[in-house]
This record gives sequence, C-alpha cells and structure tokens, in this order.
Amino acid sequence: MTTTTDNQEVLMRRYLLGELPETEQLALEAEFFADTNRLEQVQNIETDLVDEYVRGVLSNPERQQFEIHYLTTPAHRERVAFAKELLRAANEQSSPQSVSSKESFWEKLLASLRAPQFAFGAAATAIVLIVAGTVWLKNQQANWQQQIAKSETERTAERQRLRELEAQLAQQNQINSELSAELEKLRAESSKPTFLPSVFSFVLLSGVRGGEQQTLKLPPGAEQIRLQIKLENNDYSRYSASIRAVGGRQNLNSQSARATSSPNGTTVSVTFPANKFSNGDYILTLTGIDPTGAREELNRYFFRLSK
Amino acid sequence: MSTTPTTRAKWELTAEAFARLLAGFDANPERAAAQYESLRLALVKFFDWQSAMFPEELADETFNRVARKLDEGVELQNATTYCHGVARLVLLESRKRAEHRRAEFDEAINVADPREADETADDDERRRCFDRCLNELPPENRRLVLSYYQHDKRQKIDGRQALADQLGLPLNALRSRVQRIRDRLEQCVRQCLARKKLRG
Repeated sequence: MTTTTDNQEVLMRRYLLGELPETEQLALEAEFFADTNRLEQVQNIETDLVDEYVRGVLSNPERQQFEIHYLTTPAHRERVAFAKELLRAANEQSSPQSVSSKESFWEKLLASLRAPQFAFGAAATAIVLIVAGTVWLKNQQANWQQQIAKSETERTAERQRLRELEAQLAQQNQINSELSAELEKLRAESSKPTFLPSVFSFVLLSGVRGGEQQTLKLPPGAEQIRLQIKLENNDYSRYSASIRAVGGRQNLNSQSARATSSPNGTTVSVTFPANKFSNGDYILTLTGIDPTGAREELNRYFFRLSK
Repeated sequence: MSTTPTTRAKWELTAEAFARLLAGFDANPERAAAQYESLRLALVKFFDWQSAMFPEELADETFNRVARKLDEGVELQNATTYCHGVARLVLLESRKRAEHRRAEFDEAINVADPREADETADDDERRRCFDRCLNELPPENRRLVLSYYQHDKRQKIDGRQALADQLGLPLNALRSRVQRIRDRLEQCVRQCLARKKLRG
C-alpha cells in the first residue's frame, strides 16, 4: 500500500517536473480530470516540491529540472516567492511545547514505575510514591506553566518589537530605493541632451483616428520615434502598443508603459526604433493591461510616416 | 508578446450554448454545475502545470470549443475525456503560437513581453502583503499553518503527526485543511500585490 502511494507520488513529482513520458502523462491527467481527490494529491505534491526547493532539500537533478521546467512561468516563480515568505514566517515562530514531549515524560515515569523491582513486593510504597510524586509534579507543572507563559509573553513582545523594527527598516529601505531611483532618473535625464536630437516625438491625438490620417515627418538622423497617445480615461495600470504597416504582417511591439498625467491631460508614451520604419502608412494598436495581466485592445490609430 | 488565445471564427459562447454545455455534462443542473466547476479547476491546473502562460483563459477557450462542438450537433460520450482531449489541442496550439511569435519578434528589437518585464513583485512589497494577509487570518488558522510548516525533515513529520493528534484529525485531513488555508493566504497576497501595482 505504502509502496503504491510512494510510486504515485514519484509519478506526480515527475509529471510536475516535466519528466514523464507522454503515455504516462496522459494517464495521470485522465485520472485527475476525472477525480478531484487525485487533483488535490497532485496539488499537494506541487506544494511539497515548491517547499523543498525553497528549503534547499531537493536533490541536484530534481533542483535542476525544477529550475528548467517549473520556474519558466511568472506564476510559478511567484508561488516560490510566496513559499519563501510562508516558511520564513513559520520558522520565525518559536515552536510551542508539543504534546509529544509531555507524553514522553509521563511515559518515562510510568515505565520506571512498571519496572520489576516495583512490581513485586513494593506495591504499597509505589502507590505512596506515585501519589506524592503526582502532587509534587502537579505543583511543579503549575510553576513551569507560569514560567512558560511568562517567557512566552516576553518572547511575543520581543517578536512584536522585532517585527516593528523590520517594518521600519523595510519602509526606510523603500524610501531609500525610491530616492535612489529618483536620483538615477534625474542623472539620466541630465545626461540625455546628447541623445535628445535623435529622438523625435509625435502626439497621436484621440481625434485623429478611424478614417482620418496624421502625417509624421521624420527628420534625417532620427534614431528613435516617441509616440505620445492621449487617453480619454486612464483605466489600466499599464499600456502597450504595437505597430503594423498597412498591408504588412510583422508587428513591432513596445515595452509596456504607464500613463502620465499633466494639466494637458493623460498620455502614454511609447518608443520605437526609427530604422524599423520606411515611408508608408501604419496602424498603431493601443492595448490596456490590467494588474492581472489581462489585455484589452483600446484603440487603433492610423498615421502616415515620411522621411 | 501575448500568447492569449485568439478566436478562430466568429462563433461566440451564448447563454444557450453555455446551457447546452452544462446539459452535456449532466442532465441534473446542480450536478452539471458542480462538474463544470471541478472540470474548470482541473483544466486550469493542467495548463498551469504544462507551463502555459494564461491557464484560465486557455481553460475558457477549451470550454468554448466543447460548447461549439455541441452547438454543431456533436454528442458527448464522456465530457471529462472529451474536455481533456480538447485541452491538449488548445495547449499545443498555444505553444505553436508562442513559438511563432517568438521567432517573429526575434527580428525586432525593443520588444518585450510586459509580463516578463514586470512579472515579479518587489520582495519588500510582497513581505508587507504577506504579513498583512497572515494577520487577517483567524488566529487558529494562523497558528495552524505556521506550526504545520515549522520544521525540516524528521522533525517536520513528527511535528505534523503531533498536530494531527492534537486536533484529532488524520494526517491527510490535516494536510488538506492546511492546504486550503495556504491557498487562501496565497490568493490574498496575490490580490494585495495586484492592488499595489494598480496604485502604481
């Protein structure tokens, strides 16, 4: 029975690590599609794998396979990061007095009382000893419990202080990193002028879309084209844009960007390399990305580019 | 780049088509809804374990295709097996699309998958979210989940057995209970991080 369970666990681990041959994969999938208990088992094995990876107890081949296969998606990497936090928090919590340690103490005591020298001819003495011992132990236990409760309270307070300090430190680090980022940004901006002449900005107005067309004249020597798109509403956390030549097949995609607001309205700026464009008509598709990563096409802009 | 599945034709899942899909699972509406839920979970986990980028969308795409087949008059002998088969096809197609796009974009510079670029949350942010979500758990659940994950190796096995004994539960039932608390905690952290991203 245990061997069968072990074999199933091995099978599930290999499935999650992408090591299972296709026929066995299909068989296991058929099982967990049909049986929610089986699905739950695979989920549990996944949790074990993630925790073992975080604790650093996977064998070398499993660790390598985990990194090659499992860690390829952002969702899985986030799961690993979550497990790190959970195990950190669990390790920070000091272990409470376990039932088993109390039991082993009593078991020890009873075992010593069951020894042959007590079993024969000294029953009465034993009973007296047991009663006296029990009373003494109860008193001791009460004292210990008071002491444990006291030290537990002190430890809790200590942990609380530690957490507060950690939170303050994290906050300070956050402020520091924000200041550093700001400083870096300012430095970058101050060093930009040498590159500025090669970046040309154009504003794609929300009115210029559909059938109308805007013409962008690109000066010689331009290396980058920055397109600013005015937004009517800023409903998404990020935006991305793709450009396709009219009649062409290939898309040029931008990095995702956040919208910025000014008294003139809200805009999102995207940059493309100028050498990817030739004279012609283009369609820019603006996509909104919500925090879950879901995307929605928002608008299309038509423009003509001439060099 | 996105590997979001695209609809191949103009067929759309209508309320009638969805009702037919549920009826294809089971004639009893309650059992059909339960089967839909468990099948959806299996589909999402299947795509997730196959390292697909958008498991939930691919699961919906699978149901759409099954519903479409029913619309075309196909009769399901075994809904689960049929959905599994369709899911495998959807997975293969999504992988092909991803490869095709990767090859296409290799030529273009300045191209990045926004998910790749902005995928992982800052460690400090995650820790703040985690601590907050942990504190939002009922105290007994918080103690249980932290005790369960406390030790390594042998200590861990003994500790979990002692916990199960204290609660009067079999070890498997304890594991399921802890897994549910962990899932809730993980979901809370995910939502917290998403809210922080939204606020920018």
